[in-house]
Amino acid sequence: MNLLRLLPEFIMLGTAFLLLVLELFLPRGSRKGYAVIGILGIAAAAISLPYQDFGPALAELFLQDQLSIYFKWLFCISGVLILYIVMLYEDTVKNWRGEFYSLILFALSGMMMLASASDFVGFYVSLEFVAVCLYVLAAYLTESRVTSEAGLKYLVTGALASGFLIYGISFIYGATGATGFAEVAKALQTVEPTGYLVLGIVLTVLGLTFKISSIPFHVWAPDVYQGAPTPVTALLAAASKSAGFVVILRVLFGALGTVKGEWVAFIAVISGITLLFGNLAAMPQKDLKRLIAYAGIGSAGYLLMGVAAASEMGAGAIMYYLLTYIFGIAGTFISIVVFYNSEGTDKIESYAGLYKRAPLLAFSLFIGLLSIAGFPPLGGFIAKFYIFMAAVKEGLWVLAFIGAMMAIIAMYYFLLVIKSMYLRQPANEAPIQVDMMTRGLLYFVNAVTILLGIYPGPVTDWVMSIAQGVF
Amino acid sequence: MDIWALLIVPLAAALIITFITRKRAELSSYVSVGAVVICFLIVLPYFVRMLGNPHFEHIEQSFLWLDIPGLMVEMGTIIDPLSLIMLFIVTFVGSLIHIYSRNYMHGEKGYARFFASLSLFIFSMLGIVLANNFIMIFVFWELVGLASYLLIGFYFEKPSAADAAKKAFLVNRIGDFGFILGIFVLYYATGTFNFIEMAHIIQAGNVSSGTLGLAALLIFCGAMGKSAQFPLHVWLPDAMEGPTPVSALIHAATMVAAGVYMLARTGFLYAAAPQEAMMVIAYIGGITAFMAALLALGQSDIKRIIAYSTLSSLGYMVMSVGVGGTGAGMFYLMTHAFFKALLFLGAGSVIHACHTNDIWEMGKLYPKMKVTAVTFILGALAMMGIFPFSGFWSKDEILTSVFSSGNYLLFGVGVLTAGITALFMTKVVAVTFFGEKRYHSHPHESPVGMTIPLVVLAIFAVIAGFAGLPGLDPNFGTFVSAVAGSAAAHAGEHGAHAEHHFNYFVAITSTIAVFIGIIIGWLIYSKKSIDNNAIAEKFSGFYKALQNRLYIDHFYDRVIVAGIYNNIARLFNFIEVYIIIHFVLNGIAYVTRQIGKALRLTISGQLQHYAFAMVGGVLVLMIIFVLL
Repeated sequence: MNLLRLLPEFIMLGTAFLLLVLELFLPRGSRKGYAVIGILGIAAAAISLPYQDFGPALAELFLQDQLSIYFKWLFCISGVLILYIVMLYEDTVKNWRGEFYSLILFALSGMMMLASASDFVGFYVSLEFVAVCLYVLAAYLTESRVTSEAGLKYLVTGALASGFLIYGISFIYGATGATGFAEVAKALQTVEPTGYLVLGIVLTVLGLTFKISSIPFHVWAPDVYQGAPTPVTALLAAASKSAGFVVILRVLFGALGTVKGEWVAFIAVISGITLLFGNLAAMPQKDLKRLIAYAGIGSAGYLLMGVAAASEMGAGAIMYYLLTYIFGIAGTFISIVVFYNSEGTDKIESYAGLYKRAPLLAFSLFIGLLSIAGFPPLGGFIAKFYIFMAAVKEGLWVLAFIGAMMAIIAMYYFLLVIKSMYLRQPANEAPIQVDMMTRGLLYFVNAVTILLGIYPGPVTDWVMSIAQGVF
Repeated sequence: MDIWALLIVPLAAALIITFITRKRAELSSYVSVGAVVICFLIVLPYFVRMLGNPHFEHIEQSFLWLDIPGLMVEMGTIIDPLSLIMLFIVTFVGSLIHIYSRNYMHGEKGYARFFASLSLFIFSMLGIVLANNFIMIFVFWELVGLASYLLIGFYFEKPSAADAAKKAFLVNRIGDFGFILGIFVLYYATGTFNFIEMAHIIQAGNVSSGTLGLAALLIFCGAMGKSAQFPLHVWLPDAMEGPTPVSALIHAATMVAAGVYMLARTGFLYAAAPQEAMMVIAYIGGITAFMAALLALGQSDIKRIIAYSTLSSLGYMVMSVGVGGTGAGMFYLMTHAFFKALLFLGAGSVIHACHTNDIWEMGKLYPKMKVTAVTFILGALAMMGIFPFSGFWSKDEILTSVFSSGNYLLFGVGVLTAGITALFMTKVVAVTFFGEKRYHSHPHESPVGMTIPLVVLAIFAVIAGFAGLPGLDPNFGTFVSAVAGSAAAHAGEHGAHAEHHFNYFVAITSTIAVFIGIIIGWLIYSKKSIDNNAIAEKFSGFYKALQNRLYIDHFYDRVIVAGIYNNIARLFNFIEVYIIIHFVLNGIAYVTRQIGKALRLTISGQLQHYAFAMVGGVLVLMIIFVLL
């Protein structure tokens, strides 16, 4: 019964359906209980993770291995944090429906499947499953024009990217005669790379840049991050980016690893331009969510540096980076939602004097943003350092140079937020209330971010042991 | 294990204040002062042991922090004469300044926050000093920058303080950009981050001299940021927006000297680096020293004058490292820590009494504040380098090493700088403590908690120079040359490098320059036989340029910052919004629309542009790919 290997996905799907059915019977009203059910469902899925046995599932479309388990952990962690953010966010929205929770669970189960995909077919189906959920989520606030517009932009650009992706996949299939990642890799050992294969690789990579919001398919990110409901932004920033990178690890390192000479330079170019674009364009931003969108584009550039290194160390660095990134994003977005609930705005200038009004929120943003910027000794520093070392080891000096320069720029724009919070007088002195539960969670998230920076050993051991099987 | 306590105790103090005693200001200050005094007591036995045994074996303790195949990073400490000297300075001067701050900062709103930040600073600074590898030094390097950011921005009600904090942080990051790249280069070349292992690999001649030169200059960028060397010096004068004890501790005695300490710690690299790279360092130091001394002349804010003199001193130290006189540089660092901390604390005492920073609103304070005045004058004499005060010995050693390395131009610059330094220090002393009364309030001597640190520092400012007395064995140079991993220690020629002969020519030349400076200062500011307004008018252009810091800050603000911020970032926006969307895409869209109109399939809206942007991007990348 190899279907048991998809048990975590089934638990998530079951929870999502349960919530959908419940919605039919319950009267209108608060749906915070759903978050609790959803978190319990995710916890159940997470508990099943260590008991998974490795091997293929569902006609070899999926594969349970160490890599998929690691990423499923990432999705479980970000799922719990995001459901909590949804719960906080619920109060500010009129006409709230419980299906929002199930959609998030559906998206997460799709991402888990994506982490397990071992065949272009399974991969594409999972990818579209995730995408459809995200399209709905991004456009969820039907009353807001900005949100609807963001959703539409996301949908159309996503469809376009999917077109490139499927076109590329068909070329790869044409060149190798296989759709399974392992079979493609095997076929490539004997087949001489042809123009069609290269075209297939290029189109596939370009299609995947949509998911990770790097150039040239980054254009949706700023509008969608700013316009979408904040929990969805967090989902896109943390989980969806991770899903994009697990696919890149599977496809580029796994299936196409034998012909890495064909794509390394191409990825390096994309990485360099993405780094420059994301960070420089972030400088003049006035809206915090939009700023994080551009910074997120920059982060995609750093992660692509790890891809361009095309080594086990690069793979490990990407995995470590994503973990620290999820916690950085979680701390930041929980604070953003609490702040928005109280003030009704995401403008950076409105954060002035936050230190006096809500020290914990200011501190969480401080830790979260500095970690994303890669400031020692936070988790993000180790992650960035790890990526840099992977790139330097492969002799990617130009990328390391651009990356180090952009790290200053990143410090600059995050410092503007920090300066506003800590070194400016608030326009309104009234303290912002943060409930006990949220306080506890923020302390936890900050503690993890710091711990990942000062005691990275256990996680680096884990990711390096996984990375050895990636190629 | 007691070495690790040096890091744990101040960190614990910072955390305790932040999370537990924040509401109780008085208790918080005791926690912070207690922590730094404990650190001093831990360092003292080691320091005494070292004084008794100059060829002290270094003690290294470390554990693996990051253990990735192909990437091992330790967290470790190294105790050798070099780190002990620095530890002694940081904890000793730090203790005095903590005690002074308890009175100076009394009644301030953020009293507890101030002490938490000070403890965080001590933690980070000790981390830099103890670090046995590049990554650890880098981590603490950044943390010290953060502590400095928090302390410069302490009076954040003032926008200028918040801006100064940001400027300091960002300018330092620019230096750190080179620093981290330099670390990467060295790791790539040697495969280790550990100083001693790296020293052995470099001394074995396994690294090409081009790589060493590149690494030396990149690492030096880090020192340029932290030690405020030209052209990254602009943050230090602005950092005076912070409370005065902070200026004394961080921006004079310890943190800004961290750059010089780092250069000494990585001396194995600079000993092996090609001559050209070293000349760049020496000249940057020389330019900084001279320029800052000139700039100090144009200021009338007592803290800013001392800040520029600090810049000038840092330039001196860097110049000394550049010509190979690392021991002389460290010696100067030590004496400078004492007399400069003293000068800042004295200035703080004066500011505390007069409630102004402008020396032209002080005057004739000597009868009112005798302790402050006497200690300040002793500090000024040490700073000018008058025999036999500490500054004389250390400055003389630097000038001797510059002279004996054959860089006569730099030697001239050094002597000239000494003269100008004497001139503006005479000005400060004459205008602040003597002359006619110009203050408006009722100044009185500061409380005992503030004057005792002044007296202790004054004693050290006077006598610390004897540690480097030529002919004394073991003297200061012996200790520095016994540094683990240094070229001298490796070759086993203990002290050979440091044994320097007292050069009468150098001593007499610099003393003459100093006396000329003092006499001119005395004639202008005390005797008034030369009218200072007349000079200002005669050289009005130059004087104005000095007051405007030679327009360097203007250049940065208007050209570089505005250039990056307004132009590059906006350019990207512009490219995206106007060129891609409005020009290319609207162009394409226009054509499409015309075709569409014809086909009655008109769709319009921004989204289309995005899709076109993506397809356009794909095409461009495909072209790049083909070209690759």
